[in-house]
Amino acid sequence: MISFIIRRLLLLPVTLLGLTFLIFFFTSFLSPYQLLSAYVQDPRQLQGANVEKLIEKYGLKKNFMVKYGNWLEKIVRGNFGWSLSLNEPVIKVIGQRFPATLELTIYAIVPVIWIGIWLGVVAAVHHNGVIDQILRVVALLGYSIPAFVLGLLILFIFYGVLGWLPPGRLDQWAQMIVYSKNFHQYTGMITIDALLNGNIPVFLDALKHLIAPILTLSYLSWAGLLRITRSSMLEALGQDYIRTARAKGLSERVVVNKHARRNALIPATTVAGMMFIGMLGGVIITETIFNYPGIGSFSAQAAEQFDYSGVLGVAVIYGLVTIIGNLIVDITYALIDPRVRLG
Amino acid sequence: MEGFVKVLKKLMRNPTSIAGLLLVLLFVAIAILAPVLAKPPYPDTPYQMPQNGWSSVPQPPSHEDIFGTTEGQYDIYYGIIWGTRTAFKLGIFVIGLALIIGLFVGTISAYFGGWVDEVLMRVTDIFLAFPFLVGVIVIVTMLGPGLNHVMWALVIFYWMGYARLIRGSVLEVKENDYVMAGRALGTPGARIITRHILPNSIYPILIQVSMDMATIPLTAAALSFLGLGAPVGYADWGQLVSFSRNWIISSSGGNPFAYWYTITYPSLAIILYAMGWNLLGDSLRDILDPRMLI
Amino acid sequence: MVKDVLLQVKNLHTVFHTEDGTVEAIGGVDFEVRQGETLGIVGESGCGKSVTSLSIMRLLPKGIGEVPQGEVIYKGKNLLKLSEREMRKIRGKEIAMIFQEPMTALNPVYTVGEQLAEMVELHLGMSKKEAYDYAIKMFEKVGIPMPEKRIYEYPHELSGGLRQRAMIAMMMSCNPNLLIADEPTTALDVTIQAQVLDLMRELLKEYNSSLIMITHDLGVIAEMADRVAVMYAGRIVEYADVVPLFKKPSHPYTVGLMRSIPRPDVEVDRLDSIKGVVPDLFHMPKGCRFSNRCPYAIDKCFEEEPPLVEVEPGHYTRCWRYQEMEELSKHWESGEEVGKTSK
Ligand SMILES: Nc1ncnc2c1ncn2[C@@H]1O[C@H](COP(=O)(O)OP(=O)(O)OP(=O)(O)O)[C@@H](O)[C@H]1O
Ligand code: SF4
Ligand SMILES: [Mg+2]
Repeated sequence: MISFIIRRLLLLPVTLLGLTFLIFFFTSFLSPYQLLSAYVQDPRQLQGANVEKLIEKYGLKKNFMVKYGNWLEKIVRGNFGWSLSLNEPVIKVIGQRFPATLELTIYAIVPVIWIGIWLGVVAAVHHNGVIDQILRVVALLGYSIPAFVLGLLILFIFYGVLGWLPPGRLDQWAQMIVYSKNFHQYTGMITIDALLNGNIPVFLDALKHLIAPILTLSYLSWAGLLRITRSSMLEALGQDYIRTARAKGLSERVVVNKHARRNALIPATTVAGMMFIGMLGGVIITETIFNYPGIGSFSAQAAEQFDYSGVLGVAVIYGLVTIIGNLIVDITYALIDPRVRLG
Repeated sequence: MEGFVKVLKKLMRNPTSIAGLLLVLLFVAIAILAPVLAKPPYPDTPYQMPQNGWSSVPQPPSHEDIFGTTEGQYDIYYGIIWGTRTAFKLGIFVIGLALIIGLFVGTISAYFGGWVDEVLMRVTDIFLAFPFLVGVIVIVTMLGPGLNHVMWALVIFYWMGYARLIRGSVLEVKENDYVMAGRALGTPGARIITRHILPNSIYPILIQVSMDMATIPLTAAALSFLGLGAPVGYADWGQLVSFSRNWIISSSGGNPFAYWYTITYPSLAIILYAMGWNLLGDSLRDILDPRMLI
Repeated sequence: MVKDVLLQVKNLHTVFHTEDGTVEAIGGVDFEVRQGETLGIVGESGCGKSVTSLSIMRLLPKGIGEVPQGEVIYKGKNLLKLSEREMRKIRGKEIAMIFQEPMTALNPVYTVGEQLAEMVELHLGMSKKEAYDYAIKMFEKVGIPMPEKRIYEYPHELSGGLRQRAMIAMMMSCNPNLLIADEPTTALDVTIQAQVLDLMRELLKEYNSSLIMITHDLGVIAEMADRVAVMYAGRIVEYADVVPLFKKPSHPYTVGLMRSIPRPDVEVDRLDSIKGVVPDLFHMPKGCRFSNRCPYAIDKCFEEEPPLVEVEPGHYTRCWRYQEMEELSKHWESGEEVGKTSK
């Protein structure tokens, strides 16, 4: 177990290096002028004759490894370049928007885990029964509706027709409060900050704006978790130890909820973790539809406006989060499965 | 072959898998018959949706445009019919290439083992370290938008699943001594692949392909929706949906219900198409995945 | 002195509804178990030993296995007629069961102590604390060293022998009247096997419990059983006290089984002694179920199934030629000459 964690930790820098290399490799398609924004921190540097000097300085016309080395050095120092689409340093954009995305995904994953696992257990217990079949079809429907269709339909109904759930992150008046001096942004997650500031109206307003994106994001994930839980639950229910548990005279409720579910939860936890990471990618569509200012909508916007440094920066952050997230998931898995933990 | 017949028989026993099969066949038929169902006005550029006028306001279904038109007067019916072809084109191209790369990487990795395996799997991990859509967006940004670029971007970030799957089955086959015997006798690699490895992994691949035939076009459609995919006017479901955005939320004034057709028909096409493949893939999994056979 | 009958199985039939049709795995089995005695059930793999025990416990896979006919009378009550709730009070408390493979029969994600404790909490109404103390006592009783430490270990941390001891401790913990042991030692090393059997014998004596010992090993039968039922293809083919059975086997299958016990003085090819395999449930021979493998089969055997007849008081057999058996059994290898008239 310890050696497993050490091995994973040792691999981490290698993977991170490979990741940045891979990202940067794709910039080979760009001209030095296009790439330059990824190196500068201030747009005033990009004026007139200075451009050629900078291209020379960073070796943008030289071989790939020189360019990559210079870029990597900047990244490590926290300089992700200048975002042409938002006219701000990329790192600042990410710093502002990442908490917003995190807030959204955390709210989205919690119901997914609850509902997905619960329904998966129900489906497995009624294996091939009516409930199982209905859940199967509903789950497949979940797989089959793409995020942009579902999001638009939700927007259509709850905003277009009913006017209940507006896009964006906050109403105008709430924005005024949040960006005023008296409102401390402790975490960047507005619902939490609002509570910490004791401002209930802002909290409710932020929550109201979160509902539609949460619905969109979570609908696409709970189906997957349902299927995984169902199949690992079915597998668990077919094991010998379930027969033993029944032979002990335990009630069916205990057999299912204690003996089978604990085993089924091990793979389900892993999947839930990966789902959370996947959701961070899934927010690109959702945030764009609902005009939610997170890194997802930023990546789409940056891509559309040829903001190369913005896209590069977001990609690095996404890769970082994914790799570390996967590591945490793997370690958690090892921790909750006694066979691995002690092996 | 016998196995296929048996699988088919089992598929025909279950109403949901029959539904999946029928939906898939329906879309295959639409794709094949596209030139008949929606005759292209300019045969050289059939994927370009014809425009019936220039008004920016969508027009409701009429005798001429049975599903109505989008903003800019693109015929929705035409877009859906030819969009089916776009979906199949994308699916077949991307999955085909991803499968080839996966076969290559997976086989080499498992066959040689040792550090070759270690390196290839770490590289695979790095590709997997991106959320799929993020990876694709990076490439499309660098290459510039366009359907071809989208296809390549999808391939580059989609082969890993197949590589892992195939690596797994090769490792399984490797245990069988007859392959070892075959290698000792100098059986060429290609023959080992077609004789031993493919038959062993054909069913998991089949399940995966079936699911991916839904995923890939859907992802491409999502990119079009974001404005990163097909060029304006190209017959593509994602683009049709994106045309509806401004009209179905009342911000542009008036009753959003008035423009229901701009979202309903393209969405329905996408959902039914994905539904068909997913039902099929799911039924195959039920039949073929031994874990499910309790 | 004739002891009280504790369990009586009458005309038990068990069927399985499989994908390819319904099959009868048990076709009319009768036997009884007396207080404090051990009944051995012996037979080759697939003859229906486990299915018989699962039918008694009503633990057949739901929706697949079913008992359409027969009675299982325990202390005057027909278990097959009890409600599921009443049956749960019997399982574990009155009738307990030990399974073949101690690794898979114990739940991998709970400690062995917990798995014992939950049972006594349920049936003996102990508190958690009392249950764990009791678990330590039981572990001590079955000879598990350092029980106060072992109860907190997971099944995979114990050796096969210890695991089976833990299983026995668990199943004896509520002092059951009847223990059904389904090949409890098959998965263990020979030396460990003997220890486990000794342990079981001691415990049974101490508690005055009855035992149904299921095995394919006549050696185990000779050591443990008071009475023996020999099973073949879902039927009991011979049923007698242990001494007469070994002295005077009256069914060709029993004779074959005995010949396949390895003995130092006679050299027999174990596998060869009964030729062929058990017919599968879809292709049962029409007459005697053993006819396709029996060296003494005559024409009648292929036409009509023999009934179970009482050869001597308390000794039953199911063979047309039982009267000649003493003579016939001398010529196993040359059985063909002795009487087999090919069809
Ligand atoms: N769930 C099931 N579905 C269908 N058939 C079954 C099922 N369980 C058991 N059977 C069949 O019932 C018959 C008896 O099986 P059983 O497990 O009782 O054999 P056994 O005597 O215990 O053998 P072993 O020594 O291998 O444990 C077998 O032919 C088996 O195929
Ligand atoms: S009835 Fe016939 S076939 Fe069956 S055991 Fe007796 S002699 Fe053999
Ligand atoms: Mg058995």
